[in-house]
Amino acid sequence: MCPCALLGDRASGKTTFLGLLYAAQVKYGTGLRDDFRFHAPSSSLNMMSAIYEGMKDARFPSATLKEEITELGFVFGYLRPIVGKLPHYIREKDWVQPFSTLAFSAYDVSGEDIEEFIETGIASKPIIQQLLKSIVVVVLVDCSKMTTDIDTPQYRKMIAYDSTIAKLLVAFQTYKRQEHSRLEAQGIYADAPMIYPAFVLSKYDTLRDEVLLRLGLHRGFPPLGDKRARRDYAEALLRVFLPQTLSQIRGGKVAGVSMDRAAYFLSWVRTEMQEGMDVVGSPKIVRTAFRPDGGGEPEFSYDEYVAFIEHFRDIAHRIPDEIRESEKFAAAAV
Amino acid sequence: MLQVLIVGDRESGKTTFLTLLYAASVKSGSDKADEFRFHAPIESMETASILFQQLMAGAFPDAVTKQGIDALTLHIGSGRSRGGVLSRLRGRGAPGALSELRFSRLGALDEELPQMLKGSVTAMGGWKNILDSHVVTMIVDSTKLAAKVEGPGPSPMSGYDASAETLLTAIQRLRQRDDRRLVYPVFAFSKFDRVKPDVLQAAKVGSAPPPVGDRGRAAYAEALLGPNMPKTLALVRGREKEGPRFAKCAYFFSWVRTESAPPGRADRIRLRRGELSGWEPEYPRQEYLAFLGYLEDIASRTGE
Repeated sequence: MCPCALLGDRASGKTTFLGLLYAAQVKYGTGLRDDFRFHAPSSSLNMMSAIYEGMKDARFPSATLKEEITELGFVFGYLRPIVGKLPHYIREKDWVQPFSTLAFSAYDVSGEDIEEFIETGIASKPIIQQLLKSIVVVVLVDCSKMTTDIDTPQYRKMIAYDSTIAKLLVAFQTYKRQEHSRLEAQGIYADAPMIYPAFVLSKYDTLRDEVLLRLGLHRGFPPLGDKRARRDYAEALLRVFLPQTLSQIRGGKVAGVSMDRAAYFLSWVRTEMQEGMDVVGSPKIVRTAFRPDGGGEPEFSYDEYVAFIEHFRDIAHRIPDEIRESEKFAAAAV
Repeated sequence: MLQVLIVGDRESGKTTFLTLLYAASVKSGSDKADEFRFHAPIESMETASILFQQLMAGAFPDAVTKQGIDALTLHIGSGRSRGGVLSRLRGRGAPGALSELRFSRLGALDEELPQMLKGSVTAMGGWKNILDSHVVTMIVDSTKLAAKVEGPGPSPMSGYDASAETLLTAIQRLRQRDDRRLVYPVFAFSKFDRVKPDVLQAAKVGSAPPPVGDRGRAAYAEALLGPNMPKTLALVRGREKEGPRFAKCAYFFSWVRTESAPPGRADRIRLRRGELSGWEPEYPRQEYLAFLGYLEDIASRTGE
């Protein structure tokens, strides 16, 4: 199972993202195609469904709920292409291993463990060792912190977040390169290591017009099919607010660990706006009207979440050699 | 690995020079053209990102940060000196084909050089790298440049000139048997926006240095250095028969615009909004990129 990391700052929309991802997979994973499966340990599942339930009640996750999250993980399973062509009774057999899986874990980069790792550079804790093995790194970028006013705490937080993420990415690159060298020393000639980064622009609906105007961008994010335009749009934002991260993503190739196949997604959830009035307290989530295929769901960027799920299909089918090796080693140890 | 020494007087702008070098790399490494790529190893990222954060907050490196910084390593892979796109495609996933630059910052010369000559600080900070250095970058604090030195008193730069000459002579002597390598001297003028007008007038040069690549650049720099660092200039231009020789000098000019602060407070770096981009300090990025390009060329020539 390929480990994947979901990185986000405190209050970056991580919990909401997970709730919406849960909502998206419930709808998408129960479709007729049956080529995508979702699994989560009971503690994570309880948490994600509680967040989802709250959203169906038009509420954002409460601070108490967020505090309860310690280790949140879930698994995406994608039907292997060849297995999909096999008869159903063969596909059901255990030895077939019909699904390629990616195991996601969510990490708070302001958390104690990661902060300690960033400061000391010592990856002694299991959580950090698990983090460094990730082949997919999903970075949440909070659009509400994007401001043109450099004297605000939001701007400073963004620059600090940039430093943290850039350092983590360099740590990933270093780990992957060392693992690759270790395998080569054992006579296992693996492909050049790769990390697949994905950026989720969270709270996209809160992105300020003045920021877009300053960067010459329009309000609408390019459609899902136009990957190049999406990359250009997202990189225009990252160039300003996460410059070190973007430069180290590109610099991965210099370090011998390509991170060039970055993908960009949006996350937003529509909230009730009262014209001419400031919202008092937490805003209420707008829900869809009742329809034959359901209703009362939070209005959010569902297509983006489906694209997010689909983006990892190919990646899941290409398990890197070092992961295979460690799985073999773990199996032998058992 | 190409070893680059950063040498300078106290408060001459050594750490700011390294900060702006990193900032120029970040800016070029994240721009739309994608023609410049670099990687900072994890041990360098820690300090580089702190410096970058301070810079983007409009602050110069503080004393505590300066204490902790004696080296910065950058792995550079730009298309410029490697044949552009084709070479980048060829070098896919091949970190060995790239330049590895290690910048070692020495402490204030007036304090640490005498101790180094006695042999007591060779293992401290950047000093341990002086024997392996390929490039010696001497930061020249432009605010200390004087017009013609007159009278019996020492010029503001005479102490630094003597120290720099001593250091270069020491490097020459210590590496006498190592005749494989040239030493590449670089003069980097810091705070060049604050050079006194009478200095420029006396040197008969304009206020702005000739652009990178212009033939008049060396003459411009030497007109300023002549009266201020005569000993060092004579040494690096001289043709020593014994010991490693010095390559042709290179000259770079740096400044960063500041906002004057109330008395008792440190000046702040002025940040400006770029066209269709974010905030950045006002500094000559092209000079830093030219410096990196110069180092890349040396790295490819020497095979480091």
